[in-house]
Amino acid sequence: MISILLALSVCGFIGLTSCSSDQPETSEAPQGATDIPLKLQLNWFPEAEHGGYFHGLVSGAYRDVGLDVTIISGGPNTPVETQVVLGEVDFGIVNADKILAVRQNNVTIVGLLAPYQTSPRCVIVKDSSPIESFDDVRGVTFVANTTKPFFKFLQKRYDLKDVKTIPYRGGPAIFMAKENCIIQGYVNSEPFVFAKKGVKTRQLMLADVGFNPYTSLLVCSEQMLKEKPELVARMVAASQGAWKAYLEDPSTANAEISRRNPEMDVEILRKSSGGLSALMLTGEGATTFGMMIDRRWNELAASLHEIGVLENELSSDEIQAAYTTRFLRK
Amino acid sequence: MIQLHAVSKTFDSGPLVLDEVSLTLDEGAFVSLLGPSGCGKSTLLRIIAQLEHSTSGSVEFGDGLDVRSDISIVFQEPRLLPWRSAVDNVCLPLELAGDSSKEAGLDVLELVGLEDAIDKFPNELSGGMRMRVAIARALVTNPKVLLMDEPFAALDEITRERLNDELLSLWQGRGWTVVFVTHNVSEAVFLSEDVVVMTKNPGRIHSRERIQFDGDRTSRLRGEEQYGKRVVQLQSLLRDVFHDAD
Amino acid sequence: MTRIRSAAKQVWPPLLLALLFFAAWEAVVSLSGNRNLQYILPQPTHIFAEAVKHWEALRGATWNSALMALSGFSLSLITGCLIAFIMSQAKWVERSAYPYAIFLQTVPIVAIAPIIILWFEAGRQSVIVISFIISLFPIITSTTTGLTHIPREWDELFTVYDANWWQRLIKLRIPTAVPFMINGARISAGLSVVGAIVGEYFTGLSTGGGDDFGLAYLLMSTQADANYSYLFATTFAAAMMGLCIFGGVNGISKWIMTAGHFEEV
Repeated sequence: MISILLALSVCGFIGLTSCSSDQPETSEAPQGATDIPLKLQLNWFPEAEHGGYFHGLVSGAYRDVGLDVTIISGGPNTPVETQVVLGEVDFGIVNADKILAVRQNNVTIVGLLAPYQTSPRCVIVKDSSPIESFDDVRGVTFVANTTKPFFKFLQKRYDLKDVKTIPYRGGPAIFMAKENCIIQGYVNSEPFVFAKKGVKTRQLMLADVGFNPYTSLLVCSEQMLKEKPELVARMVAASQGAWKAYLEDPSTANAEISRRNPEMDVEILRKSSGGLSALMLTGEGATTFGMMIDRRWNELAASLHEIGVLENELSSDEIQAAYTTRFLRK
Repeated sequence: MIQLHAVSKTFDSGPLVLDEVSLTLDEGAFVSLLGPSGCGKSTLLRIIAQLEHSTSGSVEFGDGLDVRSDISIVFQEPRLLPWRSAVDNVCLPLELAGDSSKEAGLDVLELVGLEDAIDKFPNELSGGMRMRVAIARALVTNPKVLLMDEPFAALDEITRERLNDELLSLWQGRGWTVVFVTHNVSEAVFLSEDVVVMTKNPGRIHSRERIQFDGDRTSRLRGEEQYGKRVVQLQSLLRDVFHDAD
Repeated sequence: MTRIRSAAKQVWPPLLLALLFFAAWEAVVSLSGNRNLQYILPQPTHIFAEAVKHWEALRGATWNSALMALSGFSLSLITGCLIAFIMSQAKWVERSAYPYAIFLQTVPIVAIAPIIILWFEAGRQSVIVISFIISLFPIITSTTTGLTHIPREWDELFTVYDANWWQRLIKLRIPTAVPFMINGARISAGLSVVGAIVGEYFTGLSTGGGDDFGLAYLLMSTQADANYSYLFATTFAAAMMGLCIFGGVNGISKWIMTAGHFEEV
């Protein structure tokens, strides 16, 4: 009896394993066209944060280099990095802190392009709030995803006495309704949404207090890098160009973003994308869009180890394996 | 002493269940109501017990007979509360009347031969024992009248005969008025001095048979010829009654 | 001695099956060579290793979630019985209150979570409220049924003995309702566990500097870190917790039924 059950379960597992594939989507040319189909998985609902990629899509920049890119919307818990490493999608959007965190669990994704030179991560407070700095964050309700490294950074660095947290999902409504409530956000995004709904806010930037990881990086799997570097090169170069074009004139891309994400109307997106240049075209990003430097990655790794997100200290080889700048054009 | 005057009963808009039944029950008598299923004998008993109301006619109770405290009823199922021990089940009527002592309960359990089972629960007792507990409960209030509605019908024959013997001897010692509903001829003949034979459609009294034997009634009676003859007689009477009714 | 033997006899076959199952799992995954399996189906040895490594966190989270589930369950037991009692008083009360009871059962947590947070503030208490709401309905229905479906024979008995309303309630209706309530409690226990975890997903536990988190937080954070071995370990912990709570409630139920000599329904 038991041996029958054992045999059955083994057969079941073999069946399961034969379902998943090792290879990322191969370039099966669609009928008639020679464009290579690629999937890009977003880490959130479409926002200005993803503007460059949408611009590449609607302006035909991807098509011009023979790429048929499909952009897949994300949401609150999309496991982008896992989908990339499993080969379900070709590219994804992941923050640098998360890249290092998941790499230690053998999810081998690599950062290719970092649009944000300054992290847009902030804590949003109402304009009328007495909170002026992170030291003042006490006795409030904090709408935050507490699993994220930035939160653990705040926990370690600041007192956060009597701070009660609630999950981000459904949080914006509570933030607006409740006294004494603060919420996580991206400086170029939520504040404009709140303003439109009549709630004026101020933002405390994480970058200002020393937590400034590269944000919203374009990533692919190590396997893809090894097997199709030429494809990756095309994607990165095209995306760089698309981003620069988007920052010049975001209107067509914003129309597409708004269509996909009705919560973001064109007006909000216009304001949202308007603030992006300040965050993206600074530092190394001014000369080479999306550039990344070793120093900042090393600092990030050290910081993450200090706050406990990374269990082990990473060697410089390990850190350097997490990203590559070789596809970035000036 | 109980008198029924032209008691009729119709249930809601149903057929006539009892048709002007008149009956006198003397004090200390053991009377059986015998008849086929559906002849209204149980209904008649329940009307005496005041669990049902007659549609017309009346029930008269003799002087000093208080319906609530002097009349006890035993149903076909033991109707014991499973979460109460035997003694607690037996004492329930007293408890509900405000008397919390267990003395009477213990006495009456001894009477029915269950002195070793006082703390046992219904799920630990056999069918026969449960019936005894039910009878003990009926007796704990010291009733003058005992109404019994086919109490042994669900038991096997051996147990039934044994309980018949015990009931008979108890009655012989205590002298209650017993009204015993049954469809079993031999049981009716064994136990009662008076058998009221009922017909059905509608329920009426067909006849009243006096049952008398030479010598005292004991369990030995079952082996005697006079008993067997009487049983056969009554069975054929019942067959005729059945015949007429159809 | 024989009691231990017979208990052991019951336990070792499923245990053996579990061991074989895990051995097969381990073998298939490690021998298959399929890289992706390590993410969607980590090897039991890796899962175990992660469980051992994060033992403190797992233990604390399971304990927190268990406490919240049990709190929600206890609340729903008490409140459910009270509401059932009120509803059993008259048919019109039952009929008018019933739709609200059904509403409790069917309202999606995602819809009421923001309201719960507004009323009860973030923290343990909101999670307990959600666990309470999810587990309340079975107690109400089962206990109400028990209090109103008194077998005719017993009801008649109490009429014969001229029992008053209060006596009927204490000596007949409540004992009759106990087995029904116990059936509801078994279902309710399982739901309270779900409620504690789902509730934490939607209302969060306060982690402003503390270690006050439950299993939902671990499930979320292991998924965020893509640490799938740890994720599976957390899932197992949640399953174990559910089993223990249900087992405990079931055991207590059985004990009440036998010690009180109640009849199963």
